Amino acid sequence: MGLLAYIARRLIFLVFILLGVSLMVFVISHLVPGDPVLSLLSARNLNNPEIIQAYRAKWGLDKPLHEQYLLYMENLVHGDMGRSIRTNRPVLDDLLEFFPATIELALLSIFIAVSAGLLFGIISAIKRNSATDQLLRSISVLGVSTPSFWAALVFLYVFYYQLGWAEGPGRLSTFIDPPLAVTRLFVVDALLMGRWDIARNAMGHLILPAVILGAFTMGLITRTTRSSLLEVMSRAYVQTARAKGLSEKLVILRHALGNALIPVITVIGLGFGNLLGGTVLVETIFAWPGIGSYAYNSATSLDFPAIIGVSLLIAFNYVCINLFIDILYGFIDPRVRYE
Amino acid sequence: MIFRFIQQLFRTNLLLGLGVVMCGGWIVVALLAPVFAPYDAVDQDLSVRLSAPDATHWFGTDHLGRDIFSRVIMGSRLSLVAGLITVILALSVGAAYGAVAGYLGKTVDDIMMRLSELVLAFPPIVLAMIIAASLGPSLYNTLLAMVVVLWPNYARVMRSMVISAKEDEYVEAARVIGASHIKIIFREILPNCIGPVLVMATLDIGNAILTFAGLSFLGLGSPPPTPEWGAMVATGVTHFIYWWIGTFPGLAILSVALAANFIGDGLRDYLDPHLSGF
Repeated sequence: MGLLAYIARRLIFLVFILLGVSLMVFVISHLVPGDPVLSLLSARNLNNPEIIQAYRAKWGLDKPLHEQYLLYMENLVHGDMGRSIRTNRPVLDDLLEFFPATIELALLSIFIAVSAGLLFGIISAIKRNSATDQLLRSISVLGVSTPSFWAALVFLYVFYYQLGWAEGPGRLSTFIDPPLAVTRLFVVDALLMGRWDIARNAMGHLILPAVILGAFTMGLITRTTRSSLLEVMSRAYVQTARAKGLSEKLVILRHALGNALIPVITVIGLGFGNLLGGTVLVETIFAWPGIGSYAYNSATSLDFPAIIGVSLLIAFNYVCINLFIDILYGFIDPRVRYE
Repeated sequence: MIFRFIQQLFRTNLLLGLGVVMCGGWIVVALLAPVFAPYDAVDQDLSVRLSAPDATHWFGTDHLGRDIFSRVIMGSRLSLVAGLITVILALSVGAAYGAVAGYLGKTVDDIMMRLSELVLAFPPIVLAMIIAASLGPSLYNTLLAMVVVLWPNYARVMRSMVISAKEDEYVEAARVIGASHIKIIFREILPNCIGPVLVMATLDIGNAILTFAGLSFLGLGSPPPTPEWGAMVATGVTHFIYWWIGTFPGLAILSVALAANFIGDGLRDYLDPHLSGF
């Protein structure tokens, strides 16, 4: 089967995944003993059954589950993801507002993670068991072992509160107006406007959370690159290349690296997927107005329209990243067939 | 004898030796926690609240005047157990699932992997939060939530290993002599592919401890006043300028996760015959 047919088939699967995810949230929403009405109405209004009844009717909470689901699907097809019970705004508007902040953070984090991780991993494998190897491995282990929420606390205390080298929580300092929304990535938008001061400030806010988030993925990439390279380097064709008298550098760059990349790319993909959806802890501490904070606030107030919206968005990203990686496999390793 | 064993470990693999010593240390601390803790972990003494580390309170006290050193010591019990149990369960479920999917291939593989992607595609922390919310926050429910979130990773890695392994000659050889599918998967392919999955598992013990701490940081672990490292760091965030409240429990999480990861790395080097040749 050709590549295009493969992609088409995977995109059809995407629809099913989104259906599955939304169905899952709907079912869970029915199982949860917690009642969103209880967590969102004030104590005074909770004493009034008429207000409770009206509230349920307004949000369709009084209808049976399958009717709620069908109604949701019908609206979704028309581009309406419903209204968040907590923010009282269309979920789609909320997502469009919060997601760019997460994208900006994730992009810088994955950039830090990939460049440092690949470099460290390759050096580590070449100089295996040397002092350099031990040092780089220690750094990578430190990266995956550090609790992000704790690192966030320590970094804020040291680099913001004590030293003043980086900016504090949030995306911009309060005295600075956000740049004109083009991409909604503040650094990019500020540069497009030619406002270096805004870009600098945004970058100052971005750097601490990005380093903390990147450190974890960097550790994973270093580790995978090293072990995958070492694995490949014991194969016969690498020994052949060595026997031909090629330098160790050429053997690794030309013969080993390409074959070692597949597990590395899997890890990068998983890492990026996590960054786009699972940064709740760091976003909460840095008061980062991203999708992680939004998901956390929605989940703790049992705001199901918002939870489903966030879930669908993250699921969509995740599947797209996976598809992209699977296609990439084929370019890296011609033996991979798209069955 | 133990001393000689550790000495040898350090000589052959520094990081592995370090991991074993740190891990052993924490296990001793967890087992004998009440002996080591100078104060009761939940006893409040408001007269000394928010006092900085000194000779009487080595790690200082929190906003309720509780001794942080004692709370860190007592908190070790929960973290170690939570990390280990989660990973063992997630590994068993995920590896078997992924091996079967990768070996059978075609439509079965497609359906099985898309199903696992359904869980992976779900924002883990949201899924964990919803599970914890629907069942009520408790240690067991938090563990269950973590297993649900973690197993698909094993399935994916196992599957990708099996897919490339099943074209190898030894598998063909086994097939030619008439071995059954189950025998080929679990006797031939699995032992050859388990290396990377095991590294992932030992790596994941650290990861699971971190996730557990993260969930308890968000208030989804055992209810207070149980001493839990993540929840203690959360107290440190709300009392930001009193640096000792969050720093010490965080260091505890870090050192346990470090130990688990050092061992994971060392174990891989030890288990993988490809690497010992160098």
